[in-house]
Amino acid sequence: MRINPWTLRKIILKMIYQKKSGHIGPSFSIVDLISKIFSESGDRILTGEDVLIISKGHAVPALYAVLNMVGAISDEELETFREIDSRLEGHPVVNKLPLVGATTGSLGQGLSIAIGRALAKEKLGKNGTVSCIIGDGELQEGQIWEALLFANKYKPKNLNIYIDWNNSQNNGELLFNFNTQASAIDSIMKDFIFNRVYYFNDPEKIELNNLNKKEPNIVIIKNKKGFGLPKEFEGENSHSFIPNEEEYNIILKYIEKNESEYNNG
Amino acid sequence: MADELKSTRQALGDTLISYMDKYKDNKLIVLTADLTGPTGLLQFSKSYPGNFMDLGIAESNMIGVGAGMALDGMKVVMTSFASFITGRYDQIRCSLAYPKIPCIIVGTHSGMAIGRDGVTQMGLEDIAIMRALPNMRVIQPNNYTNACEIIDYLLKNDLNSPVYLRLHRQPYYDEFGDWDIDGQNITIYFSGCFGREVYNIIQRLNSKGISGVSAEIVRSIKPLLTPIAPTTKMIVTIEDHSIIGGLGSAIIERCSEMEINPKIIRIGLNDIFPESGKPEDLYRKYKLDEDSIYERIIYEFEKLHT
Repeated sequence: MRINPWTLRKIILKMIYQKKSGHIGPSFSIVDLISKIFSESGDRILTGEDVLIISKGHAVPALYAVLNMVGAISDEELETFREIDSRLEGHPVVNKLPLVGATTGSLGQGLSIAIGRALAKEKLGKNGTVSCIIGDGELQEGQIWEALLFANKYKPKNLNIYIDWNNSQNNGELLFNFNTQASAIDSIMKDFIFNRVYYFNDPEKIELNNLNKKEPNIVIIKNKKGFGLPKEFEGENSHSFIPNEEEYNIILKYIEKNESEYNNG
Repeated sequence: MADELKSTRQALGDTLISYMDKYKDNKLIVLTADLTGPTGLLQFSKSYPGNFMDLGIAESNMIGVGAGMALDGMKVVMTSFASFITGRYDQIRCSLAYPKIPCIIVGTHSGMAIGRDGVTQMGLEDIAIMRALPNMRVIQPNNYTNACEIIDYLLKNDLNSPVYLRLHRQPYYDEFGDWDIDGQNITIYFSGCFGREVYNIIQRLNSKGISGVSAEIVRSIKPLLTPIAPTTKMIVTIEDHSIIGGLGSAIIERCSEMEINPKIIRIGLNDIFPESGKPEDLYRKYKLDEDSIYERIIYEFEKLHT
């Protein structure tokens, strides 16, 4: 599968603008990652063999967008985003839409669930990789560290943990700096917990085809919140901003330009 | 060992062992948060180490991991003290109740019975918190024997939602036989380890000339399956729990739904934290021992009839 991340941005923008509700910035910052994950293993995610958990659940529009692109969610259903009686809730709900991997939204909980799923697959002899996307702000939740310590002890195979390092949270810039560098968290992870830490400085250059399959992996992606918005809209203010009509058209044009460059490139 | 000397937490360990002895179910997984012995699981952890996991002093993670394991088809039992596990309310709410994950959440050391360790170790508001959650069932056995039956049932049947199972540290035995079922005057509803006390109280009330007293054990607090006779004049509820939000509140809610208006007395902890002490001293001071309950019932009954 080749997923154009700019097409994902276009779908997300329209989805959120239409409802005047949702999180553009956090969703935009994971589209390159999701596009890469689906290129690698989209078919296995669709059959349910692989599991994708968005622990930073407010970014779920990115997942709905890719599921729409691959035909798992129709255009009609996409228009029911955040509406009553819809499967596409504002934060993912697994018993309504199993492809979401877990019900998330209260930050800090998704990683534990991801580890539980990976361990269960091992115990029951099932194939399948569990991927979990967590936000850098989420690292402030104690439960994330409970989960990481636990993963270190039981080392489930086939577990990939992605940290979207966009240096932002709801209130603005990331509150606890972890020595201000994503590469510092990289060394914390290596020394403290995991043997396999991959670090990408540029979301557009993520490569996932050499992840270790015998131990859990941590992939840190240095990013900007709202990556893929025109410069004037990027960054801390893009957490839950809803563009007005004029802003919407500016952003849409910018995305469509990049979308066709990507297709031609 | 005779059933008299066993606790409902021991029923957990014993029933898990006999279930595995019989079915060798590789889907069963029992989780502890560093409390293997106190939750009655020591023998199970040794007999079936492949079906047991200690997640350390990290209850929130345990709840999430349990949710994940259940999502991939395992039969999950997660355990801790009632106060600690229900204390992770948001994790239970978002990771288990809202997504309706089938699993068994066990809270032991409910009520004041742990005694000397004190309030932080006691489950005193757990029924209230769990009752408030949609999709959550709330079950409390009253002795070792029916705890074994209930746990066995939960293990053998496909659950379609989470179940909160409230267990106890203390050994307890009661005989709940054929009591006076004409509860015209007073019906006592109790949940948990009060069978002997309630039996004795009924005898004492009868000797004092008060007939028409019956009692019902409530094991399923949510859904509340115990019928309430519309004609009973006075209801007494008894629980080792706050009088806010627990069994007493559930009974009041039901009476309101039935549009009946008996006098209702809730006996439990009166919106007060107890303290460290010997259990028998605590039950006496906080008015949950047999004598206190009996005196309260007499007092309220006489008030009603003057």
